[in-house]
Amino acid sequence: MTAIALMMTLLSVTPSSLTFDGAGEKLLHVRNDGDAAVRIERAELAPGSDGFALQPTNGRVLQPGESYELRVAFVPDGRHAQAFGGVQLHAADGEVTAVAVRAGGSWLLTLMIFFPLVGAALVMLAPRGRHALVRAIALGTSLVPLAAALHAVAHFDGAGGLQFVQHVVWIPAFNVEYFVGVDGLSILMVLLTALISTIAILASFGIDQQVRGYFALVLLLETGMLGTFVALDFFLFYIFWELMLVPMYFLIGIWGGPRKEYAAIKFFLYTLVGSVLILLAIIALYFHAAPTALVDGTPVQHTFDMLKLASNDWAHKGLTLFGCDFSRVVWVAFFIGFAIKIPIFPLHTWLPDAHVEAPTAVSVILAGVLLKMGAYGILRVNFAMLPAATEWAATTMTVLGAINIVYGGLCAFAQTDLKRLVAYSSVSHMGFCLVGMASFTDVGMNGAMLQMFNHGTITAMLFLLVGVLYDRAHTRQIDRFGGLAAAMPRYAFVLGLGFFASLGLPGLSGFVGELLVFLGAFAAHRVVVAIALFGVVITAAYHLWALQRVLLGRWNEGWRDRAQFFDLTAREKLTLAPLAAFVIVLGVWPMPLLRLVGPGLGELVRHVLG
Amino acid sequence: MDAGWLFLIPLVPLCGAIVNAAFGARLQRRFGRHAVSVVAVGVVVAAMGLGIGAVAQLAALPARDPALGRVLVDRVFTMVDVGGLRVDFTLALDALSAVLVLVITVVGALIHVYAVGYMADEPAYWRFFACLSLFVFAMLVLVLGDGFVPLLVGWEGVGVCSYLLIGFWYAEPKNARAGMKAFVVNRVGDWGLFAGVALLFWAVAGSWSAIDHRYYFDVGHVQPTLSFRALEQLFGAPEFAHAFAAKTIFGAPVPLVVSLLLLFGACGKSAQAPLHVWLPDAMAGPTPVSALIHAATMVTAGVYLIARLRFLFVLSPAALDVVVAVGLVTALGGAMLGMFQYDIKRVLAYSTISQLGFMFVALGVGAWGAALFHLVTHACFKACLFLGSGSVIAGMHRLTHARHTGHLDEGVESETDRHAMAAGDDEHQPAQLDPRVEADPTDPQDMRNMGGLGELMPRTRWSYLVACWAIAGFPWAAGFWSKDQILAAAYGKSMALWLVGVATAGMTAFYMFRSYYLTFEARPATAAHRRHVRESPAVMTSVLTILAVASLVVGPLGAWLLAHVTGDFAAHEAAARVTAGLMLASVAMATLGWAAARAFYKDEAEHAKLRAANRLRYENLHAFAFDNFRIDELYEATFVRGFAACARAAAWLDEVVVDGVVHALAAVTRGAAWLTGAIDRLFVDGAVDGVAALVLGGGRAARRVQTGRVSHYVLGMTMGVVLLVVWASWW
Amino acid sequence: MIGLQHFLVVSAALFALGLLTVATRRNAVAILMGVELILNAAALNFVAFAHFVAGAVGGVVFALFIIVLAAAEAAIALAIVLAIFRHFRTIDAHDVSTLKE
Repeated sequence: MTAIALMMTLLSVTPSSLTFDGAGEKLLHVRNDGDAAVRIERAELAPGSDGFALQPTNGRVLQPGESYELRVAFVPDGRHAQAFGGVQLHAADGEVTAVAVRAGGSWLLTLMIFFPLVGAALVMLAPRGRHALVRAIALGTSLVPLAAALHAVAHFDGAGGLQFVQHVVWIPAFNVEYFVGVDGLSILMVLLTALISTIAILASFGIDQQVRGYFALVLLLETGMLGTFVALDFFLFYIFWELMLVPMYFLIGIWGGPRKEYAAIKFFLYTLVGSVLILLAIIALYFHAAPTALVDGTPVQHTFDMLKLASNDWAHKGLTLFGCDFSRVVWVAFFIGFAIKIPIFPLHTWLPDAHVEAPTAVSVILAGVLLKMGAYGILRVNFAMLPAATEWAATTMTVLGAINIVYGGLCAFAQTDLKRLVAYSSVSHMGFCLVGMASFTDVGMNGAMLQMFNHGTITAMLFLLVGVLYDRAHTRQIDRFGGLAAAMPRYAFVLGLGFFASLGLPGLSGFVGELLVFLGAFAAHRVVVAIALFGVVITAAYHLWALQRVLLGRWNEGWRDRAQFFDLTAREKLTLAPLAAFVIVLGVWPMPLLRLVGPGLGELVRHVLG
Repeated sequence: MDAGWLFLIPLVPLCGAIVNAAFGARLQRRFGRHAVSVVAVGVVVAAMGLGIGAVAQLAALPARDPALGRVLVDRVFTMVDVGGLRVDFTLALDALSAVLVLVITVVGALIHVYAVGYMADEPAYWRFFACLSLFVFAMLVLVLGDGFVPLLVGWEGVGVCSYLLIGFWYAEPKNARAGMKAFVVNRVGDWGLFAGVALLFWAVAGSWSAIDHRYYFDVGHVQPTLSFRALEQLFGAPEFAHAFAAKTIFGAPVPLVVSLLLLFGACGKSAQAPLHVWLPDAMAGPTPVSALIHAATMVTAGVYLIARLRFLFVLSPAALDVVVAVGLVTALGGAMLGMFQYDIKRVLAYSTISQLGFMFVALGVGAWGAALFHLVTHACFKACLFLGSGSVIAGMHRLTHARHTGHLDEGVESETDRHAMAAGDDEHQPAQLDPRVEADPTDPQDMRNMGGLGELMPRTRWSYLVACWAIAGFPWAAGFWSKDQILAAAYGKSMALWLVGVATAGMTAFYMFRSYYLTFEARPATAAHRRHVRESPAVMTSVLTILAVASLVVGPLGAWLLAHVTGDFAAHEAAARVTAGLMLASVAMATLGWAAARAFYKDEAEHAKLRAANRLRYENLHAFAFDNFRIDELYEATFVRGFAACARAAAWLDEVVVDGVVHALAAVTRGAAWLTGAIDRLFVDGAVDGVAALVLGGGRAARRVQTGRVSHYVLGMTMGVVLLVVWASWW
Repeated sequence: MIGLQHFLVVSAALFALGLLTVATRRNAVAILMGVELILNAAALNFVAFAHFVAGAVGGVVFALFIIVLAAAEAAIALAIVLAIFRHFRTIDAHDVSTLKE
């Protein structure tokens, strides 16, 4: 038995990990600390160690006590601002010693994700009853991720691939890493999330019950949302994904409207079912991934790394699951899970109830950000990891998107509750995203991404406006209003702006995304897109009809006190102004956004088609 | 040629709109409404100046390649640049845009001046002018835009402004509804527009295989584009045009499908059948709006679109035939409907529809220049007519307001009046034009409440008359030149076409003069009228005069200008010679129409006699034609109700079926949970309880040995000992 | 002649009768009488063996022990019976059953 124990290779490497600050060369000293000679087969860089070079790579024999040097060089290729990799020493007995090498490594995203948690803790520690203090803490806390997101956007290079990366091993026993970074797919979503969260917190100043709990939950939610968009390790992604559910449940269930418990539990269970499917699919991919290495070079049989999973060719592994092609089954599982979030007909019925019963700011977050997670998930997972299956499902996705557009629009028309109408309009708009994504053209894909961002801002504006009306009137029934434009002219202007943006008026931001989506998708699916185009008419119809019944016409005599409908307050204007600015500017000048996401999405399209 | 300052032309009105929107209320409060007027009129006049300057610069360019023509270009900024698509927000001034820019700015400026007078009593003065300036901006972007994207920005922008302005007095639900109707019907047309654009975009660069229905790029790497100039260049090459014409989609030729889709979009904006239903209702807006938007500019956007895309339409003769058909039906239908209306603005609305139909006919027969010419002349005289009617309505408003508030008797000035009042015949009775339809005495727009206003409003009357002369196509006036060109071109195509056109022209003359006679003549003005109806202020009548003069002058002037400035534009045009015979025929028809109108309507007494003699049988058509051939009801019953029903069905489906599945699943889960709970309670827990019960029972039974009686215990001991002994001895 | 077995039989019969009395009688004093019978049966047994087995003088001595023990025991037992009577107002053994479960 002693003989077996001594067979373990005892190589020590100094230093235990290398960090580069720019181009350069560093040395690794490898020493044989054991009693027997060790034959090193080869030294090599772990898969995924772009930008690093290693010398020498040939094998040699190390006597006990002997050491030798390895030179590791880092040559930044301009594409990646951060690089992570590992050096692997393969010994003759199969043992592999791994040393992590890294260059750069940005703390920005980690700060951005976890700062709201700190804020949540601070909020909970505040003394009871000091509402103003709590609100100030929450608002101040939310400004930090916003600043970080703006910094990231300002310094983001559209053609630069993954940026602001932080990549370390977290749980070696399960091959889990802490891997975060932004690329073309997520940069806009990060900005949107930070912006909408700040605005939502500002809009929540009207909450006066259990204020600390409310803001703590919102900040926790913000952590979950930001984390989901930047996580590139599946385990981490799933943790953040689930992290969003619980605060949402409580936010709807405690501070919501009359049917809050029903809406909260419906939302929670519906999303959870999807999450279970996602989890199963993640595990399936995990176990069938090609062997690779962790970021520090440790070779592993399975991995959660989303980028490495994307480089596996799933369609040609010859795997089957339940008798069908493996990649297609997994694709469907992921798709259903994300489709519930988007939401896609027929998995959308949680949305109207959740939106209507949730308080205003929660609706803003729900519609502005959470819906985009489904679309982001489909891009990040279904498109990037399972391209062959995505091509197979293209027509289905387009048809579902078209159904969303038309059906959502029709349902919106029949609503009597203004908030429900806006909720169904969200269903309709997300259909555009799906059609654009399924078009497999640069034009369509960019349109879908633009639509995701623009819909976030527009719909956030609409929910804020509905919230303003509800604050004044304590009802959302459209028929109870009328002639409000005379009493609230500024509100009428902004509501008109929001509605026209939502119906896709050229010159406002809703149009650009829609146009690109239609153009992009038309080539591949003429008839379906032609049918989806009727959405243009339907959308105009219900928006204008609602506008007319609420703002125009005669004053509804049911309201005795006209003064209760006072115009926008300063705080309300502050929440609406940035959104309105985005809506107007991006309507004529979407280039800044397109510069950020264009190259990344183009690569994704080529990846899917190629 | 690069002209980097072109963007100023639409920008200046936009700035005016923003200033008036943001600060208008404050300006109006502090400095009075003229602060707002100065801003609004100023920016339009500035745009006009810039426009004239640009056109002058354009005219000064040396004539070049006839296929491209002369053009000033201003690439303002890049909107979209992804993968296969680059969209620049480029403004381009060529012959076609030049004409329209001039129309928009000149006529627009005049109407702005008029509106200063017309809207003088309006509290939301600033809002009106803000919207009007915004409209001018959007319209300029529409005509200057090089490419579908700027066009769409302008297209929808004018739609929004139209919505805002039709519903300007939004407190009245009818107005808001009219605005919504306009926008939604436009949107229905936009469906065709978007589909056509998408199809054109892809068809330029490739085609769909008829076998596997997939899209393949053409060899030759044409970059799909949305820019008009790029498209014109592409289609200018004959090989490309031929190849494009040969492409098919679902068996139909691509140019035909694209043209029809774009035509549908144009119909929406230009109020052609079947999407014309919004224009009559749009008369709910203030009259300057009707003049500017619904006569001179916005409704001509469809004509502009087709003219702009003529390189596409010429590839499909069938599409051009459809254009002609649409135009013809609309022209005829509009004219017929105009003959029966009592609301003066509705007459003009149907007249607009009809004249636009003429323009479409011109486009369809390939007379591009004639269509454009008619657009210009129509802008002049229609604006004059609308503004004139506005002047009349303003005057009538005082009367009907007094009637409404019961102050009819105020202002009795002269002896004649006092006598008339005493005799009881100063009270105006609405003319009994048609006993079947009631006249509302408080409606300032109803012509039956008018009559004899000619002596009270001379300047208005004469300008209106001149404009009627122009529209009827009498010699020398504008309509004569432009309409005859169209009719000549139609004659070149087919005789039947010409006949229908001439008949429509005759009807035009009839209904226009009918409206003139009913409004300004028919009978001497009653005392009530004399008391309350006055000529409009100079700011309004001077505009009327200018426009009336323009209607006379723009004919020959325009023909000369068109030949010079737009010579290259007419390069594609089918040469049409206006022969003397055709001219005579159309003048004769116009005279016939005028004579009929004069006979029936000039004198109310005569009219009553004719009615008694049952000579007015044509009015039996009245009930059907009065209401827009009941098309509104048809649409209401089919599309609107159908749509609402679909919406309700969808909502029901969502709540009952889709959500029902969710609830059913939830119920199944709850049932399964209850079942599991029951199993747990009965069996699993039951087992545990059973064991406990067993133990308890056993214990209870065993306890009975303990009787507490000593004798029993002794017996027990004895038995035990005996058993022990027995057992020990056996062992 | 009268042999050992005759004495043994008599003592056995006495023992059995005493046991029967203890087991069956209700009156506490009667039970004590039964106990006396048992003790005397044992004493008889001892004396019989002392006589018939050579040199077994111990049996006679033990019989004396038994007489003293019986007397002591009877005194204590009667005292207990008195105490019982004071508490329960009866000396019926069947009624004194508080040890019953």
